[in-house]
Amino acid sequence: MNHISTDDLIEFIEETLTAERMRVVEEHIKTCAQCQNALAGLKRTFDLLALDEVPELSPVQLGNFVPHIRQKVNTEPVWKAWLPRVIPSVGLVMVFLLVFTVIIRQYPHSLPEPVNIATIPDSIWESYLIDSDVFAGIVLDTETLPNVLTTETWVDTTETDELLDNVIDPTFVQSIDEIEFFDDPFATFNSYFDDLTEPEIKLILQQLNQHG
Amino acid sequence: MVSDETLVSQFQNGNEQAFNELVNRYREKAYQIAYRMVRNQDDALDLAQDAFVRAYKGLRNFKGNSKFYTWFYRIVTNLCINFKTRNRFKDAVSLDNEDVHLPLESKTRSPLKDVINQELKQKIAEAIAQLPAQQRTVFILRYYEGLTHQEIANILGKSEGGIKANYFHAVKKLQSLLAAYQHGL
Ligand SMILES: [Zn+2]
Repeated sequence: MNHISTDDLIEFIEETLTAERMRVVEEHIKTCAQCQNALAGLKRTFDLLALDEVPELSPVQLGNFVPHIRQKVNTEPVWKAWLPRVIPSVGLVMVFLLVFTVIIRQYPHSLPEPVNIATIPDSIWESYLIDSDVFAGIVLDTETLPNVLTTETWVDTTETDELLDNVIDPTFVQSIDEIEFFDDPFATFNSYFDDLTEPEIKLILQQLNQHG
Repeated sequence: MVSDETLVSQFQNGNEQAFNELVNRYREKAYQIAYRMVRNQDDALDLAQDAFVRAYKGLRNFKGNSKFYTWFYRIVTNLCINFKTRNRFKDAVSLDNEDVHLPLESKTRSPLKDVINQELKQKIAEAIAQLPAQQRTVFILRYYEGLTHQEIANILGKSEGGIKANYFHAVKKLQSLLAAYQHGL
């Protein structure tokens, strides 16, 4: 009889196997010393890991939690930083919106075509680029720019390292094979683009757009 | 209890207090996850608060396609991974020394046992810190936060199968890293 895989033993401990599989594993372990040892070893590992502790927050730290967040939010009033940048582009955004509305009404069941990012005027870009102590990066408002990047063009969350390492390499986009849907482009893109310059961000988005 | 979704929509309609309630609901979770990701209390506290700052600014665009906590945990883990990425050359595996200092007042247990426990805990912390970023994230969310593979898959935007594989790899790696301490220190 085949022994039980480590993966199954882990799921056996966590009781996440199907009822049928749980019973098979249980039966096997009763009579197999090797699998009993393997199971015991895994359990000891889990017991050790359970010892890991997180230092508790003090009442003062807990009490300051919300005020500190409020402070961070208020030290960088986003609308103030945006306002001078947004005003000149409002007209262009409205033109975009008008065009999109027409397109979407004509083809109510199809996704809008991606716009080539290279053709977007700088003034629009600037309204979405933010640089501050709190966060640096790009905010893509998918309500007003619905087809600048389609949902298929977001890169996977966990590719951060590669993305940062390969920013300057024009061939890197071809090497990314996991282009997945993100419903929080705001957070994700801000995370990615910390510490990058505006030209670098544009380069990435242009390449992503071409890839998507 | 008011649902997260209700609080989110109240906040989107201008109720600032609803945001505070979301913070109070998730602040300890955010801090715990961040602490296990970066292993330093001050950094973890900063990162947890920064995650809420981003949530504050991002919530106006949040359309509720996913659960709030899924969206928020992704912000937390992204911030932590990027924090580690930025600091990776500074200190590959740096542990907060103030967390491993010897307890001064041990009343019920023997001082020697406390010393051993502290050392053991440091070895465990080091082992977790040695996991690659994604495995570490998955392991923390599954083992310490008790999320399902499917929930983690939603948070990280990966397939459930991929997350399971990450988790099994993490457990096996931890087992081999901790093999020497299986019977105590
Ligand atoms: Zn066996």
